[in-house]
Amino acid sequence: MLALALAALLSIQTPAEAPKTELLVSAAASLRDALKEVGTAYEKRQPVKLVTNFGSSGDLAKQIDAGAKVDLFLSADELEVDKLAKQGLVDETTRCALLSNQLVVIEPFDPEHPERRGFADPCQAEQLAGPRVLRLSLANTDSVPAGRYAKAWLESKGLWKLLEKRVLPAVDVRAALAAVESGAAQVGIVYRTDAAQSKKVRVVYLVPLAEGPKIHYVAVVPKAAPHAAEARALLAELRSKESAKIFERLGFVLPESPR
Amino acid sequence: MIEIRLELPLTEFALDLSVELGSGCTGLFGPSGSGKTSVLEILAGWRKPRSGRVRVGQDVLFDAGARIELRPEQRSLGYVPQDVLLLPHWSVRENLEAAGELDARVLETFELEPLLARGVRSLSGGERQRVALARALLTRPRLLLLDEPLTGLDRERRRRALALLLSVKERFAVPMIFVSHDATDVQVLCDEVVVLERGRVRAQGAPAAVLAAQPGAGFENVLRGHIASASEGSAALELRPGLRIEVADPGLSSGTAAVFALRGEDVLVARGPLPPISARNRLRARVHSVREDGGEIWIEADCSGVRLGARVTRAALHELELAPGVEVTLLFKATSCRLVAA
Amino acid sequence: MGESGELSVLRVTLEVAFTATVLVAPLAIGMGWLLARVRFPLRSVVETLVALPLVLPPTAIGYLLLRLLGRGGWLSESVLGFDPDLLFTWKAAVLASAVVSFPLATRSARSAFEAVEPRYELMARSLGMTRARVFMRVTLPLARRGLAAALLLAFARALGEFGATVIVAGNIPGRTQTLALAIFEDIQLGREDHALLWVGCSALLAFGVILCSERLLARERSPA
Repeated sequence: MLALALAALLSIQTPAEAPKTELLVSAAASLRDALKEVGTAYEKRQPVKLVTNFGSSGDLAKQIDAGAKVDLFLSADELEVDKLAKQGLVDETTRCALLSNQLVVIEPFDPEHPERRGFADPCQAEQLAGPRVLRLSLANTDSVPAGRYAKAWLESKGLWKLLEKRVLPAVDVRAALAAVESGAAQVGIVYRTDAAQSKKVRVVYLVPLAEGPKIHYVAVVPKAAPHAAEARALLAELRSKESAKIFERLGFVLPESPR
Repeated sequence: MIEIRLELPLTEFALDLSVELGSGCTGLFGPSGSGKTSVLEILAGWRKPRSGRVRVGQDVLFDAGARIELRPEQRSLGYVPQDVLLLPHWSVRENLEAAGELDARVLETFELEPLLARGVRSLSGGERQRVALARALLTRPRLLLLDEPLTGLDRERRRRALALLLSVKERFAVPMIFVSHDATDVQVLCDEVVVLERGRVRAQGAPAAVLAAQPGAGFENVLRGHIASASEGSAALELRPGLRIEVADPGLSSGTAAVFALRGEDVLVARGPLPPISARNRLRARVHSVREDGGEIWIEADCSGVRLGARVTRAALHELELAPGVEVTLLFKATSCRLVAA
Repeated sequence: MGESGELSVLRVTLEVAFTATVLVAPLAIGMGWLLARVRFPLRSVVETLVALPLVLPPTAIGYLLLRLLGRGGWLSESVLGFDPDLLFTWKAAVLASAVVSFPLATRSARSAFEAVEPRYELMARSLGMTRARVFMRVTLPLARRGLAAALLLAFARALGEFGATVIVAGNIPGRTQTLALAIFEDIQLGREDHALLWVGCSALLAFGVILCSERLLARERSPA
């Protein structure tokens, strides 16, 4: 009986199309919405299918290190790409700076009670360390770029030591966002682009570009890429003017100079 | 000729046999727990003795010294174990076909036609025994091993089963080893008997003599013949042309082959002329042998080719001056004859 | 992007679980029979090895598989001479599920075989059947209900596999994202309603599997 049901289900395969090349793109979690938009448009024009693998850049790099056959790696910082480069796993000629971003401090926002605020407007960075803040949501500060950036900024403001014990680590930046959305943490630090697409958080402090750490999204085609040529084409698309418009709209910062 | 030498420690005692058997029906007699079933299992290859040798005719089935050990599927033995073991997921037909091609003679002998389509679980005890026995024969075995096939059957069924075994013996001429704790059955069916007690052979020989000596057994006269006529509560059993005895009416039709048992204790010996007497059977016979067995005297007399045995006391022996060659009359009641197979 | 997200999760889940079960079936049946019927030296060592994935945390198993199959591992391209291309594909998910459900299936298969009266097998052999024929025509049919239950158990375990899968196959929608992984992702991203949808699906599947299993075992307890 079960066998029949299974056979039926398995036969509901997507109708046979001309087999498209599948590109496996490992991308930092913060690129979720951006990549979806750019990717959907790209798929319409090119005979490729994008299989996206989102996670923290640290985890994604580990997968490549372990032998995952990834076509394109979009990392939220240089450190992860450097690590792979040292192992000789990436094609250095394809390495380029893709985007930049800004850090924001967020707090939970209830659309049904918009007047409730935890922090005054405008807010001082120092208020983050106040007694109200029981838990601070950050992406894992050891392995996730967003977490590393946040910790670097907090250290530069002399706030890290005060907040270290109150940190609620998340597996990637989107998970850090979700922790604030749910109210598990009173405050969190994520990218501006992440906060922008969430309706359940409010930005209380925007870290000025000059004040914050240098955030560099780096793209690279790994050596083990099964479809390197198509990957390079996709990368070119991501650096095109059309894509730049999409990224800008979502809140990303474009790189000052190509690397 | 069957040679069995084996040694195997069991839970309470050790099995230690060394026997040679003929190629007819050999009874393996003894109380429960004496190791009879273990012997059959070793013959079938289901258990391995610690040492020994098993040979059936020219074929060596097991030889510890020569490192010969045939697998059960190579031994060509028809085994009917006590728990019958008809395969439960198969019908009767499938069980039989697993043994070999269906043979008309076997089907007819065992009256299996109506049972073929039935599932094994729906059979009665007697039917299961029949199917198992037929199955054993269908493997065209070189030897049949029967473990207490009559246990658990009621009197009527035992009678018929024993008759069946007798006809199998006659029709198929396969050597048999028949395990039983019933002395009468062994005396009726077997050509020789081996008595087993706590794993060792206590006696071996012709059933009547050997079993007569067993405590609780007793000498049985086995009377084989055909029902000649029946009337008024009694019937005539014809043992030989012209030699008939009267038995209590068993309700069998004329012409049926039947086997009766008559205990030696129930036979009286007389010399000289007889007064009117109630015993319905009075057979003239000539004493063949006189034997003393543990304080008991056994007379064997020949009556027109049929050997009958009677038990007498020492005093009677002397008083009647019974000795080989002496003419006597053997007396026994019609009701002393028990129907055992038909 | 093509097939709808929901449908792809269901498809991947069922494909992975089904394939893992098919892979495990002959191995578990064979090993179950071996452990039930054959006395051999180092038997307890084998028993322990078989039980190991049952006791190890799935993440540990996933990590071991990753080391085995990844760059420089004992089963990597450099050792095998060819590229098995397993990591972060649905095949790795199948492997992870197969490894964790193998000990469960083996245990149940072993019980199923142990429940078959060995005297039936001996009797069949005395009728002239070779050991191979006895296995196919007597042992397997008599054990079939228990074996079916064993496979159902393997299937159920494969359906719910997470820890090993996420490490060795990743959480890639359309390729390796099974129900369990989809739930995890939704929780992480705060998409609670969506997560509940998946939980409902899982419950339905689980219900179906348990129902089948109970019916199989009920018939075994009271044979017609």
